[in-house]
Amino acid sequence: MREETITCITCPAGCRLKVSLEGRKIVRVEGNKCKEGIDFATEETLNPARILTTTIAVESKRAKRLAVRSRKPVPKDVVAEMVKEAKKIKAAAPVKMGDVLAKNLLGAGDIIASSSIEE
Amino acid sequence: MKKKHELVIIGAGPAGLAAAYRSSLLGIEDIVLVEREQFLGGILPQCIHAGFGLKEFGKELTGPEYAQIFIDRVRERQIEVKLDTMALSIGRENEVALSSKRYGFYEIGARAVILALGCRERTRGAISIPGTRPAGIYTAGVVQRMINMEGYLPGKRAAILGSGDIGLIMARRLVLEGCRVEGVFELMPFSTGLKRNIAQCLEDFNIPLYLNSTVTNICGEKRLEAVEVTDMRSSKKRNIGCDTLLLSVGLIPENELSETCGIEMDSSSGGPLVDQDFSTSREGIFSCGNSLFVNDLADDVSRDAYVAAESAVNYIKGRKREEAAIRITKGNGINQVVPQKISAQRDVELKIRVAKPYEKAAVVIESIGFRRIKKYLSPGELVFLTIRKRDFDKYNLKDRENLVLGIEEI
Repeated sequence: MREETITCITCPAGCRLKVSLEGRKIVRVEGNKCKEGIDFATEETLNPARILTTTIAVESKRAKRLAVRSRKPVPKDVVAEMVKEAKKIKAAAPVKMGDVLAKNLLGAGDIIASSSIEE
Repeated sequence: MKKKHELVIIGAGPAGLAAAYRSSLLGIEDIVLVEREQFLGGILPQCIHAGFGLKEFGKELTGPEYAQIFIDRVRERQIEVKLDTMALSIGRENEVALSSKRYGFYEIGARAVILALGCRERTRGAISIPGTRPAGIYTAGVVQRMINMEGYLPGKRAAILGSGDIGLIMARRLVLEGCRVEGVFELMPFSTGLKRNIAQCLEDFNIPLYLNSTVTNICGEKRLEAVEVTDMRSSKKRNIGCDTLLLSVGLIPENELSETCGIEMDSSSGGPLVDQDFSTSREGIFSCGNSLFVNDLADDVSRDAYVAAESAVNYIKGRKREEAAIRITKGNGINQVVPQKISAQRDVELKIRVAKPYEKAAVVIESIGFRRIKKYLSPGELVFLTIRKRDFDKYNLKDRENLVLGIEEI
């Protein structure tokens, strides 16, 4: 059995949750003040995911960098690797918010433009 | 003769853009949106992280996306935008003096003006950190701009003073860009950042947060070499080697323009004193966004802007409104509250910044016996308190009554 301590971000209470796991099964959650803490603990220990955001170089008259994001939350442990990989993407104006810049990067998800650059 | 517009909005960040969009939707055609930067969106284009839009759009957006939605709306409605233009003063008849490289100095008239001026960061000078004056000391927002917009990393080893949200966000950003972050140091015994940022920016990357700690000396000749950190409880000092120091030590509403045009200010919020319509002490001038009151979320800034827009539109259309004769002032446990004047003849939402964390507390107005229980209050998270008209009706308020809002720990 292993234990993980995480902060619940569901509300401003910010409970410190102690989660006991047996493989991929949650045995016990302690420290939560409400039911939402259990759902949060489950998601955060079994499938922690984050929206990746970074910037990449862009050919443009106005902007030097283009803000990009993963379309959906990606597994937390691939975020750093994806940020590195995303640097290799080449972009040039015009770009529209939502344009796909890399399909299924590292098998974790699409990288899309966060804003529009006209020229 | 200068042209008199119906509405001039100063500042095109999340407040100004939302105010322009809403005023246009409400039928105002002659709007001018003035922005001193060369682009729209205010600070949002450099806030590339997610977490925006949950209240306003019901989905998680990045700062640039949040801005882009409003920028597209403003363009679609063909609202006149003046970029690279600085508003210098507002005259007696609401004429706005502008300057720009392209057109020089000129004035435009306005029936109504909305001030959406934003805020700026506290600097080293504002908190008087002793020591040498080497390169490598920046406010967190400046580093955010360097990395996210200019595309360069200001250092290799950083320390962060202050656990405000921008500091936390930048801790993560620096690590992802290959800079080592020695820690976040916070003078208070609690963090002033959102819980979500503590978890996802610090805990995710094992960046330590040292509470009750502050930077007491700066070392280095040309470039920063180390900062001295003192633990406020034990008075123990230690040196942290770093080439970069980020300051995330608070935001100040930017109101030189409001002050110089004679608007009555609230010294605790740092913004204009306003009523429930966000009308300032000067007729036809309204205030919203972070120049009125420093918010936690862009979504709340836009919501304020809608209120200011609706009020400005009512003013332009000559609609009557009830006088806001009741004062709201801060008492025990409260640092800031807006609006500061209400009519008590309709529901009102007060925004409150508490002075310290409370597990459970009551927001009280002792003089009239008002009491509302709230849980998990923190200076890092704005408290919203709605008081209904029917509640005010019960209390039989006198004209000019001063309601002192306080916190009572339970």
